[in-house]
Amino acid sequence: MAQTLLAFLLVNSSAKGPNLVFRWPPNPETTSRLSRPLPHEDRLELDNPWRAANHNDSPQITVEASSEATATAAEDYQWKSPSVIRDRSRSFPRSGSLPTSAVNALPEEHFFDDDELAEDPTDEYHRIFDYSTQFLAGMLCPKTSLCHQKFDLVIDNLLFIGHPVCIEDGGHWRFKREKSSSGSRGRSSVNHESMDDIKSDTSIRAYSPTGKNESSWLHMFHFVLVLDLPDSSSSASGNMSKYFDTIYKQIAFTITAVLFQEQVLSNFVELECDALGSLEAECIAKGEPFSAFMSQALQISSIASATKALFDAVKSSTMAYITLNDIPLELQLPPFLDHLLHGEDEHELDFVDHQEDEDEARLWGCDLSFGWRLPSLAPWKSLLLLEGDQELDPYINLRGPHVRPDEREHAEGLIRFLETASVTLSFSDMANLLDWDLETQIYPTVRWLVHHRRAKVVDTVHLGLKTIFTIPPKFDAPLSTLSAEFKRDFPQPEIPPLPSLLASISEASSKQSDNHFFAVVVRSKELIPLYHEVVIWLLKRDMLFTLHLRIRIVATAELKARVRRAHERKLERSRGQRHQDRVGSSLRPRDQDPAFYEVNARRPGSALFPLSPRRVHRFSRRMPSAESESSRASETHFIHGGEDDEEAITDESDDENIAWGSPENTLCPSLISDPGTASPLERKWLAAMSEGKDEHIARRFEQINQYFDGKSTDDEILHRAEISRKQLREVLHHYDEYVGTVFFGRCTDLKQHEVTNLPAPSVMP
Amino acid sequence: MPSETFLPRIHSVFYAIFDVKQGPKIVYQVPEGQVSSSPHPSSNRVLFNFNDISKYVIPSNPLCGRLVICATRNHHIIGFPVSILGSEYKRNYFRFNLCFVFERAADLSCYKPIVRKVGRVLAACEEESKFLSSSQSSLAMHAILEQLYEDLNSYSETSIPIDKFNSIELKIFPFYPNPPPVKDWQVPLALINLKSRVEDNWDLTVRKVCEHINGINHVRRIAQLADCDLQLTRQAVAHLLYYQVIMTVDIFQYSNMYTLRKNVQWLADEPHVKDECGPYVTKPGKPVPDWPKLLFLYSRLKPGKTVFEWMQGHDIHELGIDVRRFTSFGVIKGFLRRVHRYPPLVYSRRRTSSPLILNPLPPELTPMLNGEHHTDELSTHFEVGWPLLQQWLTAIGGGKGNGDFGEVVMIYR
Repeated sequence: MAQTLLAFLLVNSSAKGPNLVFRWPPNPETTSRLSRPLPHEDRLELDNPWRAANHNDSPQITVEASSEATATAAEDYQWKSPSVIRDRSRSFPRSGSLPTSAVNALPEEHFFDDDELAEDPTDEYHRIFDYSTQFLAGMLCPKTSLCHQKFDLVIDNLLFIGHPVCIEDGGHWRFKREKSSSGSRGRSSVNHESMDDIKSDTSIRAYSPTGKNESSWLHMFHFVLVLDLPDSSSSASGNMSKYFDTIYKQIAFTITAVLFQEQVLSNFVELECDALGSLEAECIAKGEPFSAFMSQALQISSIASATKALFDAVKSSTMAYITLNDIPLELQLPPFLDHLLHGEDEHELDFVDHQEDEDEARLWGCDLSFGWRLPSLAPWKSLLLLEGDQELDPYINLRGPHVRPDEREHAEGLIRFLETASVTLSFSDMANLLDWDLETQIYPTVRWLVHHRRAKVVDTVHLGLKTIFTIPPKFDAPLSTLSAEFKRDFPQPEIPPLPSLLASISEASSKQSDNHFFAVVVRSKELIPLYHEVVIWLLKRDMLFTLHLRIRIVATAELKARVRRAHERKLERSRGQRHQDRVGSSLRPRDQDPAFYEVNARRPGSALFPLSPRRVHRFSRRMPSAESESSRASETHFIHGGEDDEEAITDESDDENIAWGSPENTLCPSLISDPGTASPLERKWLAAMSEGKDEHIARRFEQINQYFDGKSTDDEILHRAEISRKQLREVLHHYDEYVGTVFFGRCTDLKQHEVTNLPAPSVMP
Repeated sequence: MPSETFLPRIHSVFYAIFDVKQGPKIVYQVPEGQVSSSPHPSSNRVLFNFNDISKYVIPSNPLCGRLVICATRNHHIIGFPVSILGSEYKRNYFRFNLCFVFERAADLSCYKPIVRKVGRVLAACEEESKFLSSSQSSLAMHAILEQLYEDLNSYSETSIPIDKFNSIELKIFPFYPNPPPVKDWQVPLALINLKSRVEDNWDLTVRKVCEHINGINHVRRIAQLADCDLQLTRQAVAHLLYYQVIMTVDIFQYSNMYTLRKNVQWLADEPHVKDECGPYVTKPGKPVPDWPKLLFLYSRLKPGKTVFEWMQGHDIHELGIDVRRFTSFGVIKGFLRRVHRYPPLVYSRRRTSSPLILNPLPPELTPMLNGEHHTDELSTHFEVGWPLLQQWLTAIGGGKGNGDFGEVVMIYR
């Protein structure tokens, strides 16, 4: 947005015709473009012999070619990104904006009937984008049937977006009363409740404007955003319309909604237009320069000053805090909106923690789901507070004297939240500590802070800095700038220069052990508090990411062979026994023994966690594993009872459901891709892995192997299974011992990814 | 990769002029009756009312000769208003516009050149033979509209002869985004059999460049091998990238480092990855390792560990794996990425020469050690291999060698 926004315009229409009331900036300029796709940059279309012959004077040729082209073809332009053009504009004989060249290129007679021809083209009061303000205002005041809906108009490389609103048939400004009519106004899709809300709120108390505020002349007003139409070939199709739609919803619609409300309630827009109009007339009469008018306008009109503030905020990609008729407004565009316009380097996207499914996006809410690139909002993440403006510091607002007594409690709660928040504390721990509910209290607060750019969500950092970090392939600023800032913020001699620090961090991940931040960089307990600051500094600039452990289970060939052999033995045995003894079938109802349901209910996740809808969904997906566990529980139960026959029979009937497949298929190693939904055969393999293990280790493995799908991170596993890191390590260690050496280890790969092959025991029985 | 190569459907085509008596009016439209001119439309087939948008369709002069797209509630109207001057016209000018109507959500990028061209051709016809303004020949406009509507919607191309000299020749091209700029150290890799597609009328450079695209040569090397200008070679590669027939990977060296990308968590379970990997990466005649083993090997590629060290650590020779194909498979499928070495010089104290140095140190190397250039870039820029560059860096940093670069540090990212 910062790139494409050229100007804000406020246009109105009255019986006297359309008029441009205010604009910011005073003299917006379009980026210059070539008049047609010319071989300017490297002159490739000139053939090689020609190039050879004219080797030395090619710069001159360029100039000739481009000026010639402006004279011949008026229509086609090749879009160049602003930065390119700015660099190259030196070589242009005149680097004027496009409309100049295009207008010049038209045959002179074209203007013979033009009503604005009499005007001085350098008259800043009446020219904008090389159109007369009168003409452009006319174009931006559509027919009333196109009012109260999204407006967009493209003229060559300029895009005008807005939401024109007009007076009712009876000559009054008022809210539309019926919901149905507002629906039929074509407000597209979602997120437009605000205007409807405003209406339903206010229509009762102020359906008819009071007499003193009666509007006298204003028929229509239109707050317009002028954008430089980006190159459609720079981004994937479809992105462009999302981009414009976001700008429309976040800015054009919101501003219009407030202005419309104020116009209806207090005739605000008309009064402002009056003031600006008479000021302009006065300035023209006095012969004051346009800039003088603009600076005075900013003082007398809140629309003018708000427009300027909004423009500056958008250009600097920050939040705009503006005031329209004493109504404070906070407006912003998603920080990554401009990225939609560029073919993104794929690798960069790797370091964006994509929200994997719609549920996660919903956790953030619709305002934050698009163009924000937020990591998933999960209980095992933490909050990193960013410094805000002093005057808007929530502490001051919350502690200030104007807080009402009934709000005092909330305010104190918030202060406690802000004081508790830390990168070392996960959201779930915070919820416990504050005694707040995660979903209804913690998350909304986090969302608010993130939305207002006061905080970001990061991975939890170990208190002793024993976290393994990695660095992204790109930084937002050049390393030299970052190094200088780092030096300024951390002048202590113990802290190495930034490049050395980054080098140590990036090298660490290849080590087998002692690859965490403490071992690699800090090395001394006394320095931990200081390095906490360093870590936070780096996290704020997105220069540090936590590496995560992800685990997969491999069923090795030996294991498979063992399971198969066991199965065959059982088959033989049961064949021998079956004709002797048929007790088993009568015992089948045992499966409905309530004890089994208890086993089931004690599964981690199903009972120990409060189930959010998302998790219910997750666990319902995992139901097969729940069944498997109960069936395995039944096996152990039978074994303890010493009823071998029954075990054999139960087992056999289970086996009937198992697709054993061909020996070739089952005898080469494979990944158990999602142990949570393992097939019966995979369950047999998982069970066989636990043979000969300590009972509590085996049980824990059963509990947590559903997370060994290569997707869940270590943090997630620890949180969901409610075990400690040590316990996880213990399980991994035990299931590693048979193959020993190479395999296990805290293998650390990409920031977000590691594959750890957890091998199955491969000792032959 | 563009996901939507399909083209938007034309809902209506209409031809409007500025009528001397009635002002802007629609002369012909196809299909009939979709754009209403009366204020109270009778039929509900009507897309929108012409009066709402007439000022954008037949605008005053400042907009003539410009592409104008306006919108109604559900539709976008794209047109190219033209104004032709002449004393033979009653008002000394003749204004017309041929507009296409699309759904509001449609992406109109591919129609912009079409609309401009139609406008220009019709303007030329009018200037030459008064094709539009004379009452006889203007009847032909209805047939032209019909053909535009039918052909562009059905075949995405059309050829409409207008008179002896003029015809409308149109073809709509699906829209691809521009590829990122090509760098000298990138290695193009063909995704189709390029050589079988080469035709005689192709650009000479592209033809020469195609011969050297083998997944091993980098752009600068290709320019040398093909004896082409470097900038032309970059352009040729960019062209092939645009049409998505090649992709770029990195230069393969045993000193490279790789790391897994996040999406391996999904890709590891994809049949097109796990089934294709083994046969692709194994040398001919060797047994194909199973996917868990290969995935494990992939997971051991880490920043800070060269391919050579990784090979030694995991007996890659024994397994019969072609390491170049092993890494490029991961890069092509998108779950592996190259980790580059960025060597910034930490202190700017200048060191002169060092006895280690065999070749003279290029003076412009030191300024490039600011953490913004990786070693592949430096290698291609100075046309030296990693071993020599390593020596240079050691000399500049005053290190002891063997991985110690002194004041030059290595950031892997």
